[in-house]
This record gives sequence, C-alpha cells and structure tokens, in this order.
Amino acid sequence: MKSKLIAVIIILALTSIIFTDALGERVLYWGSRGNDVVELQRKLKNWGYYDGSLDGIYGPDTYNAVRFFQRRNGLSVDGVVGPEVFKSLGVNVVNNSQNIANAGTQVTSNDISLLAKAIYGEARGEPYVGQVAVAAVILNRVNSSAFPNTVSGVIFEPLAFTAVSDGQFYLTPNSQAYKAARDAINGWDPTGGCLYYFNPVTATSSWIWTRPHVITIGKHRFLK
Amino acid sequence: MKYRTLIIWLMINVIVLGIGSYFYTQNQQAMEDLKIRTEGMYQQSFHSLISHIKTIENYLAKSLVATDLINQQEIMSTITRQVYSSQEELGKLPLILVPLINTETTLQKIADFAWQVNTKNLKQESSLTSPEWTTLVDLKQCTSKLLLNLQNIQSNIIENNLRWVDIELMYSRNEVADNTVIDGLHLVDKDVKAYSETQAGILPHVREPKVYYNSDQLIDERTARNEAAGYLGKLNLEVGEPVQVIQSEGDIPAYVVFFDNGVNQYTCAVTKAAGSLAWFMGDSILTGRQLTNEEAINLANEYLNRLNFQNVTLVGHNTNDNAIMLMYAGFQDDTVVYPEMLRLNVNLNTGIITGADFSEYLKYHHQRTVTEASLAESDIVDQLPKNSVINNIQKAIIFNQQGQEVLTFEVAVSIAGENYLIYLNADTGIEENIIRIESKT
Repeated sequence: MKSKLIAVIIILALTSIIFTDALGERVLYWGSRGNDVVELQRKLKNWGYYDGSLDGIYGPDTYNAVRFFQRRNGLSVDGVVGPEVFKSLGVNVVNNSQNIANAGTQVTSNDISLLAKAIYGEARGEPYVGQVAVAAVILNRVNSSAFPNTVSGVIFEPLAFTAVSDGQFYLTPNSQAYKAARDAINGWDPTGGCLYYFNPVTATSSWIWTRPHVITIGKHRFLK
Repeated sequence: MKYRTLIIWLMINVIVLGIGSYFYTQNQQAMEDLKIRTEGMYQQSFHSLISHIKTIENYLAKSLVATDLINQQEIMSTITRQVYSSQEELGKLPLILVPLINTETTLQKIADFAWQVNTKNLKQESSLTSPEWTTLVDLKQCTSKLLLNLQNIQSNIIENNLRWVDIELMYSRNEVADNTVIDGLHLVDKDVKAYSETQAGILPHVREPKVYYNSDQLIDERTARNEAAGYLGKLNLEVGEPVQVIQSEGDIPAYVVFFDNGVNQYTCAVTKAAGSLAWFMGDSILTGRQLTNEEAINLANEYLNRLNFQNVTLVGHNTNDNAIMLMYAGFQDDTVVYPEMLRLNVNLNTGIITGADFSEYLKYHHQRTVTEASLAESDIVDQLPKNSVINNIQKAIIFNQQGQEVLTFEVAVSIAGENYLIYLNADTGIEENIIRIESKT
C-alpha cells in the first residue's frame, strides 16, 4: 500500500536500491560473481594463495585458493567466504547499518530503466537538473494519493506523459538519463515535491495553469 | 499508336489507384482495429471502477450497523482492497482533461479510515468515537453520491455508445472539452469535493513532520551567486561562471544558480534565507572505478568538514558503476539523528563530488536534547524474534508515522539469511519501524 511506502520514506527518506558490491557485504561461494570477487582474488593473489586471473568469477581456482587460505588460517575448510574469512583477510566487515541506503523501498533496477526512458523521451534536450526534475515528479506522483502507486503505473497512465503517447519513450536512453534517474531515486528533488510540469508553449490543458508554480527549468514549468 | 499509349496509361493509373486505395483502406482498418481494442481496455477499466465503488459503498453502508469486531475487520479489509483496485482502474483511464483529484483523495481517505478502524479493532476498542461515526456516515453518503454520478455516466456511455478514445482524440487535437462524459466527470469531482470538508474524523496515519526552516535574513540574487560559487569552490570544483539564476518557491525557497565550465553543468541551490547550501548537482558521467569505497568515504568526510558539518555520521551508502552515494545523519550524545539526513555523491573515477543534498537537514535541523532511554538494551534484546543474530545496537531518533521524533534502539539483526534494522521505542518498547536490507543476489 501507498501508506506503507510513504511511512518508510518519511522515516529515512531512502529511495535507492542499486546494490553495493564491496568485499565484505555478502557471503561469497562457488558461482558468485562481481567486483567483490575480484577484490577477493586480488587479496588471495597478493598473498600467494591464488594464481588465476582476476575475472570476478568464483570458480574452481578461487575455491581451491579459499580452501587453502582457510586451512592455513585454522578456519573451517568449506570454501565459503563468510565473516570469519573476511576477518582473517583483514576486510572490515561493513556494519549492517552502513547498508541502509539499499533498504526500504520497492523501486527496482528495472524501475530505474523505466525512469531513464521517461527522462530521455520527455526531457533529453533539457538541462541536467531539468531531467532529474522530471524523474522527481514521477516519483512524487508514486507517493501521492492522487496518482497510481507504482513507477510504471504513473508513467503509463493514459495521456499523462507525451513521450509515452508519441512513442519517444521507446528510444534508447543515454547514460545521462540513467544518472538523472539514479539521482532522483537517491533522493535529489530540484522541484521540492512538485506533482506536475508542462511546457507552456505546447500545453493544451488550461487547468494546469491553476496550480501553484514552484520553479521553471529550461522549457518546463514545475507545479505543486 | 497514340490511342494505345493512352489506354496503357489509363490502365496503369487504374492499377496504381487501385493498389493505393487498397492499402489505404487496409491501413484505415488497422487503425480502426487498434482504436476498438484500446476502447475495449478503457471500457473495461471504467466499468470495473464502478463495480469497485459499488462494493465500497455497499460495505460502508454495512459497517454502519456492524458491531462484531471480526465482522467489522472483514468489512474494513474488503474496503481497503476495493479502494486499491479502484485506484488501479482510475490510473488506466485517460483523465487528463478532467483530473479527478478530489475523487482520488477521497478514495485514499476511505482507505485511511478503514485502516484506522482496523487498528482500533486490534486494540479491542470497539466503539467509534463520535467524530469517527460522523465521518463514517459522511464517507458513506459521499460514496453513494459518487456512485450515482458514475452510474449516470455509465448509462450514458452504454446507451449512446460514447467512446473514451474520442476523448483522447479531442485532447490530442487540442479541442475544447465539450463532451457529456467530460461534463459528467467534472460533476463527479465537484460533488465529491462538497463532502471533503466535513471528513474531520480521519487521522491521516502518515503525517508530515514539522519543518524547522525559517525564512529570516533574506539574501539577494547577487549574494546567492557568490555563495553558490563559494560552496562549489570549497568542494574543489572548477565550475566556471554562473550562466543563469532562477528562483524556486518550494518548501525551502531558494536561488538556483547554473554554472557551465564548457564540459559539465553544475547547478547549485542556496536558500533565500541565510544563503545555506540546499542542494547541488553535476552531470559528470565519467565511468570506471579508480577509487575504493573507503577512499571515497574519506574524501566525502573531508569535504563535509570544509562545509562545517561536523556532528554527522555515515549511515548508508549505495554504489553504481561510476558513483557512490553516501548518506549521513546527525549524531548527538551517541544517538543517530535520522531526521537530519544529508547525502553526497562521489564520482569513483575522478573523486569529485557530483552531488549534495542538504534539503532535509535544513528542514528538520534544530536544537534538541536527547532524553535518557527508560528501557535498557537488555530489555530490548528480549523482545527480538527468536533465532535472530544481533549485529549491532545503537540509539537512534527517527520519525514515527505521526511525523514526531521518537527515541529508539536501532537493532541490526540477521535471521534466516536476511538482514534487518529493527527500531524499538526506547521508552515503550513498541516496534516503530522495520527496514529490510536487501543484499545483492
């Protein structure tokens, strides 16, 4: 429900979900992949336990190296890199509370892509701040009781966004649009909570002029 | 010969015209098919919407006489579910010409009210207070009126084969809205609004916290430019000259100063009162990872020092391919003050700060005294779910659902392969909030 979402956001104002992958933030085992595996491999290599490539894939070589390391350090030899191994590796296990930026939201990485597409379709010629502002309006709508409760619900509301109606939404967004989407999800809101924006040159609805104006960025007027 | 050429030309013309008109009609047919299909979806949403409202109205009427707790709970749960479904259907209709804001707000109020009654039921307080009773009667009447108006539109649509697609076309052709459906919807929202002022018995169960920002010591635009340039200078950014200044009238009125150094855009907002840094953003998208998280955190700490933010502590971080977002909260008397949240973005390739957001800090920062917790940590531990592994306990101030600051114990626990932060009130032991920490899978 919307109310739960709002509650979570109010309490910590967190809106991010892109995952972290520094060593020590998750347990690693055969099959794990990622930057943290690279870091693990580098450490093991520096100390002579491992001589494979730093490919970020926990395969048989890494497994053997980890077991070798565990045996040498008197740990239980299971090939699983957990808190004990991190400690012996000299990795500061990141305190759980360090990770809360990931928590408390229903926004997924696919939602970020949807936002980026909306930004690119609606505001690609606009200043960077104007792009973040468009994404912020979408996220403000998700949290408002007068609009649908999901990112996709807001974006695909019939006629709500011209980019969706005329198909520009389906263009491939550039990396700037993705960055703008992430900034908005991380909590940056240049509009201070606006729910509407329009281009005064092409606006068709006279009703929109009755809303209180907050800021004009580039071609877009943002309204409460 | 001439005669023959003429005939050949004529035949070619006939063939070309024939093929042309064939494809034209085909295309028209395809367009018409698409419209019919779209119309089908709109009709489905509209008629389902009315069924949901009908159910809500029905259950509100029943709740007027229901006294049994379990029965009432079931009624309220049904109402909540139906409100959610109506909101979904509303979101699928092309309502841009007639935004039904009052209707949507009232639906949300009905859901809030149902939640409120169910919470009372859980606490075994059966009877409604008199404002609650008035509100319930009022919501019921409002919904009955809403239903009636919607049903009028419905029969109008059914009898006269009116189409939502036509409303959509009117909008795209920029025509003046003259349509019985639109007129009907205007009436719907107007009638709902007439009721909205009397629904005082609903306590919104999520409230906005008090804002402490005050608007003394107004600065002018010139000062704002200098302040903005000064802040960005402290962050070691080569931003060039200000190219534009605009005003923002949001929660925190601010001057927004745009800089452009030829390569990157930087935008910095300083508050109109006292010229504090509210937020700033850069558009750098350089990828590649040169810095480790620790190095980025050290950098960020140093910059916060330069900006005179000393009593803050790192509470969260979030990495993507080229940047790390660091979240800080106020820290006072061994207690994390979450309302005073601020955020920094550090580019992991260049180590430059690409964004800062102090707006929440500005809104909720004030002098506070941290009270002594009346419960001890050991009391709290007994309350935690069995089998949970406690990783950390610290005191934290958070906003509760009523938007008030409460002192809690923030307990980081692991259970069944998941990590959580549990916030337990330091005086009453009530569970104020639970946050699940999702890890990369």
